[in-house]
Amino acid sequence: MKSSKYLLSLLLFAAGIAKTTAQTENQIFPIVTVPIPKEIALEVGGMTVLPNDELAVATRRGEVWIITNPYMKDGQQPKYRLFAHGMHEILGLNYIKGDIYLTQRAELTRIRDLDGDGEADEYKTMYSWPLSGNYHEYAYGPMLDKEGNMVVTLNLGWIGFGESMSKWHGWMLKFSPDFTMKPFATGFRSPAAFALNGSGDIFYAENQGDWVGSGSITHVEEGDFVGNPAGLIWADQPGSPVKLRKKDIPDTGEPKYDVAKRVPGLKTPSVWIPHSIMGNSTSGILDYSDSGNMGPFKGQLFVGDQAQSKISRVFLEKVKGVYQGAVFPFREGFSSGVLRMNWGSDGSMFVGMTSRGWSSTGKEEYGLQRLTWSGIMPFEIQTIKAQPDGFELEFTMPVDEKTARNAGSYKLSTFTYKYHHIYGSPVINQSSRNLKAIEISPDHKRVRLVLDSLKEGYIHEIRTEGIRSESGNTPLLHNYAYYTLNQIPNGEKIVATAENKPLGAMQADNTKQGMDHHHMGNMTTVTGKVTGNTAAEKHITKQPASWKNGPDKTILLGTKPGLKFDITNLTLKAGAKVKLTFANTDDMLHNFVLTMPGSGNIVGEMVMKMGLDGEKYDFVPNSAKVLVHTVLLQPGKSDTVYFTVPKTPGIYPFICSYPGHYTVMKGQIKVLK
Amino acid sequence: MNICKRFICCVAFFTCYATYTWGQASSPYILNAGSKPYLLRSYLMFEGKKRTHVISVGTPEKVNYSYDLKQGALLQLWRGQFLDVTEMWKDRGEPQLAKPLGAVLPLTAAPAIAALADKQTAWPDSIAFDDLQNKGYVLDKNKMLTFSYSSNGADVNDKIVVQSDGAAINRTISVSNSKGPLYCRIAVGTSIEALKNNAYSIGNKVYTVKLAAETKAFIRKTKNGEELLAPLATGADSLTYSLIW
Repeated sequence: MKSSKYLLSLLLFAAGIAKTTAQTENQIFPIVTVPIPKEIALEVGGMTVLPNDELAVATRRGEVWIITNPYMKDGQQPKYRLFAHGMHEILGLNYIKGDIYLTQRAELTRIRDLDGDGEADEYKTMYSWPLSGNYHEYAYGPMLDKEGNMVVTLNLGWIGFGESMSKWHGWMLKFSPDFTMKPFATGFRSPAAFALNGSGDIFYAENQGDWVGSGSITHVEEGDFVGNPAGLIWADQPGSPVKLRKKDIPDTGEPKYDVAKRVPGLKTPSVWIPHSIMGNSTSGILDYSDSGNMGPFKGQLFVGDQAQSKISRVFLEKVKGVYQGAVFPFREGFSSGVLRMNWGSDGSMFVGMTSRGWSSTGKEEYGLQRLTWSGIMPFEIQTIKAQPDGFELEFTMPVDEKTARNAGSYKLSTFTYKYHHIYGSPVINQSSRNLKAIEISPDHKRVRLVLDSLKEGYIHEIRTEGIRSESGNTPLLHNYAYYTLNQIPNGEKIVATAENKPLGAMQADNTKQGMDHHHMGNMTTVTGKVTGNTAAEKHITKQPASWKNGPDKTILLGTKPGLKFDITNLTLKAGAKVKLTFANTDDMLHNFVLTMPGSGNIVGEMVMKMGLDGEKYDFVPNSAKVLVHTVLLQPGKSDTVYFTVPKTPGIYPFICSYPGHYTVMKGQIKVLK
Repeated sequence: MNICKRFICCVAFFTCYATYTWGQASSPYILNAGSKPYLLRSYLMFEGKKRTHVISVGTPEKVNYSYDLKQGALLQLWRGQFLDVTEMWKDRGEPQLAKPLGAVLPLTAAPAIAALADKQTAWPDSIAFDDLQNKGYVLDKNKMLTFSYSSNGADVNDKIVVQSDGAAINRTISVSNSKGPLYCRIAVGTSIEALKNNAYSIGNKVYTVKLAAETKAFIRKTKNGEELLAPLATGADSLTYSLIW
């Protein structure tokens, strides 16, 4: 899919349509696949690099593999050896002070090879926690904090909503060197990854769900409550530093930032990672330390996304003591669901993947790849820093002054999400922002944008499609970012003058134009924005009065775990009157969308272009290819629709059109005469 | 089950030291031991209850057992195929249960070690989560497991070895640093009959335990049947028995 787009852009160049030499992710950050022997199901749950330059990989099947020469130096294949096995869904692995540690569902474990035969023979339980037996009770870590403690997080169980069914699920725990456990913070829902930034502060990645409007990364400090109230059930236990209780948390659907202002102790994300645009399921975090060699972004964080098989880049800054910053696209097109990232000894990035049970854009069930940097300087926005009256964009190369001064090069808007017990959130309070002034630094590497207003606590969408480089007139490799403005810095504001007045006009109606081609890589060809449509004629929820004898056919459609409909093949008579109830018994959001023959994938792809509007329209694009749909259903909810089967016989695909689900969550109706 | 031997891997792919890998069977979710035992932590249903801290061990002799690490309890034994892990490894792995393949011999979910106020005190059904610290397990050169935990103020090692002919398992329970007398419950059943040579028939010949000559066990009545206990002296002590079925 991705390669065809690159091919397309090449063809466009060949045809002379593109005026400039656009950079591509492939060219600047090549991906190398590490081959996996056929008998090994390398469903990566954890990874760590060993001192002898081997890579250890833990799997969801409970194994620890040690891979020699994963770099394939001298053209040699990597060698895999099974070091340990039999553990319960390992989702974290780390080499700490000479030992291999891991988390499995029930415990923090240390494994050692006592007799030196190359296989672990001691599986030492360092700390064991209770479990209710729910499949969603995952455990992640350990990571060493800057004080030398090990950090572990425990996932909430899932019973139609996130619940802490046994002690310390929904918590981050710290273990001192003697493995005394200290509960550290709570409010976690699905804290699949965490890492230290360069200053040794802890950041964790959260996934959209109940009480979580969108994925995000959040700075975690002792005693924090980060949002999902389930874990608060243990807040009164000895050792808990968390002061909040469940009853303190309002369920009003206001923005989380607003709730946090009157509920001290509620922590808001450092950087929101807007759902369906920047990712669906935030996963690994990797600090770009001196161990990496990934272009001009040292000190930033790389953040993986399982569902969209990609990695974003996050620039953080501290304003008034609070972390905030911007998330940028970085690299897409990995082979499976990105879960773990580690630096290799050569500065390349190991990317460990699994998609089982949760679909991913990369179609492999699992995978191991290595991201490298070709050494070519990408033309990117390197950082975005908040200013008292706007933002300062720093570029990796000097920008062309004419395009940078042009208001039409930019599109700006602000929005946020609801904070409530409901799964996910639509984009709310969205409005466009206008430019009042633009100042360019003498070296042309920094552009100061002065906005008509800043919205504290909001996500600021910053699109820079018109910017070109000074040398070569190159478009940006990625031309949009989302800055989470937790604090507006103090300082001098820029006075609008004739000199800094933006040239031209901004494109009107930013909100409607947003996110139309984030999947087009760096292409500047504007594709049509896909709008949504939930008009009633495709979503008839009352039996039509003309159906005197009721429906000819009643269908009850459900879900199966792992993104599946429980019925995938239906045969119906042309023109039949159908009553269809779709019941979402899964733990994610789903809908049912019946499409024209051969249009399942087309409709699914359209949804990816709906941008921030997607959820508002239940991810139903405004297209004649959509015949019938339900609403977007929360877990545990159902919707009934009435429709007449098309008169033309054929195969009519149906999909869940939630971003990314359509490739696996699908079925078909065979319409007969 | 198709065990991928080292040389097969080498020929088919590259130099791969996959000792426990499994190939194309009728289902990719049927687990069996290869030339060495296969261990698997999982959730497990036993006596109608989902147990969460369980390990099952399958051996090349096709003698398999499950052990509750939070009770120090040998839950069950069975012969033949090892485990069906479809509900763990397919899709999301819901409900995350491993299922023994074959008719199991259920033993007990109760802890093996307890401190009893007197000989009339009933054996506990379970030990609270925080009252037993499981410490993991070590494999010997034959990959047989010794489980370690502390409970009732004592450190306990519980070694389970499958006899090479697969006819029995040998279990050695050792305590150290115990502050007072403890008991080990060796067996529980509807009835227990003492045989000669320090052997006992459990549950009307469902299985037999054979104790080392020096072990002094006694039978006592329970609410529903009988149980076989042996004392463990303060400080350090151990006992060994074979379980034959």
